Amino acid sequence: MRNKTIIVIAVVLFFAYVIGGGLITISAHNEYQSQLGRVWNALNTGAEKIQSLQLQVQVPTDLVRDVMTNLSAARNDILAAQQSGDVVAALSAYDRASVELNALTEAYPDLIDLGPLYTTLMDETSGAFNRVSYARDNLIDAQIAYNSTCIYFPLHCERFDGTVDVLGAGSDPSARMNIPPMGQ
Amino acid sequence: MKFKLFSVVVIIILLMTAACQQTPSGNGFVDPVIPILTSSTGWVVDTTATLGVENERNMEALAEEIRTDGFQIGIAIFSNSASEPIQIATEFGNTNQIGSGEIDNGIAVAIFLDKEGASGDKPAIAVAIGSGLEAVLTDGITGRILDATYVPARSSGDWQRGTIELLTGLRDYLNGARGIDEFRTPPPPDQTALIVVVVIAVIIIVILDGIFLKFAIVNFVLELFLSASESTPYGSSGTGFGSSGSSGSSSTRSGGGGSFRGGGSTR
Repeated sequence: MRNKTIIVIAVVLFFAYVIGGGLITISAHNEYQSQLGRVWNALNTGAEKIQSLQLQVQVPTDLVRDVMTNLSAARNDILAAQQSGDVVAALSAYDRASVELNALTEAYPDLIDLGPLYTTLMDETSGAFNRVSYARDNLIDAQIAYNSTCIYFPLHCERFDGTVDVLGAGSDPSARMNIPPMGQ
Repeated sequence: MKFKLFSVVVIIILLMTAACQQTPSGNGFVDPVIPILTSSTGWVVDTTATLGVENERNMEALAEEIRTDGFQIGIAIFSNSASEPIQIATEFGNTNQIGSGEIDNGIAVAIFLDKEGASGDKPAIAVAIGSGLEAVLTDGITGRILDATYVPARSSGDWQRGTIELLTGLRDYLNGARGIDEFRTPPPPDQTALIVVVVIAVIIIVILDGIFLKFAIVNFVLELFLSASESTPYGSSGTGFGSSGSSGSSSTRSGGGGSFRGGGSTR
């Protein structure tokens, strides 16, 4: 009778672990996937805004010409990374684009004649870039949360090929930081 | 002669120590103590007592309107700071977790009466935007709202009016900007339907209990309550009258979990 009770409790606990762990892991993995999707959406919007800027800004100075060339290259890299699904490469290109966007903001006196349409476009582009930063922060949080569930439910995580690489976790702390000119 | 020199040195040390003491309003050498927004302070904290009752009431009303619209804003007025204004505004926002923790839609405003702004006029102002809301309320837009509202009023010597106009400008922008609804905290869900379902379920259980079990469950629950109330000593679960006095009993105001990355504008 006592053994039977122990077996029943063990079976109940086992199923609770399997079902509960499955629900928690699936939920954490779904959250990670949805945050990843948001990063891609935000990057896509950012790339579109860069293209709109290219059409609008008619390159009045050498500085602006250089900035627009670099922005264009960064946009192409974002699109290429999108094709290959390499989010780290896409975010790296986005970082370069952010630096160029700040340089464009600094070059405002050269672009003042472009009028309110340019201002609106710059606001939208800055907003799109801020959205990427925010989505990236949320993605890192989701990746850490998912990896934490893998500590308690390793077998469940194997269904999703184990833990994921957390963005920025492998970066070299001694490397020089890429500081935008405006200190943002 | 030696005594005089010694006295001067002691006085200088004492003055420097006094200057480096952290105070609620701050000074040019030390940052102010970041105030905590509570239900007694409201959304506006004036550590310098220069705002005036009427202005504070108007700002409080505007902050409350912004909260009703689905955002949060906190305003702090200091004397001065050692750090940059935007750093203090960001710290003020993060300490109070202004805005929703899920969408980070808070705004933190810090004003420094003895600090010069970019134009050379006093007081300096910094507006820090929550990291989520930055997608719609960018640094450029915040700067233009400041230029249209606060900066001209400050130039004419009426920064209090400028602050009220700034809050009005922010409120208007938050009500009309494209894509802003994504960052609006939704109103709390209506619990009426849930309450109705629970009440109906309890009534059904009581009826079934009466029909089939002669109110055995009801009797058991009532006995449980009666025995619990008999064994509970007076005051053990009541609201205490601690040492908090008139100012300590207020709950924190925001605590929504909003975070600030440091983006925003300074003027």
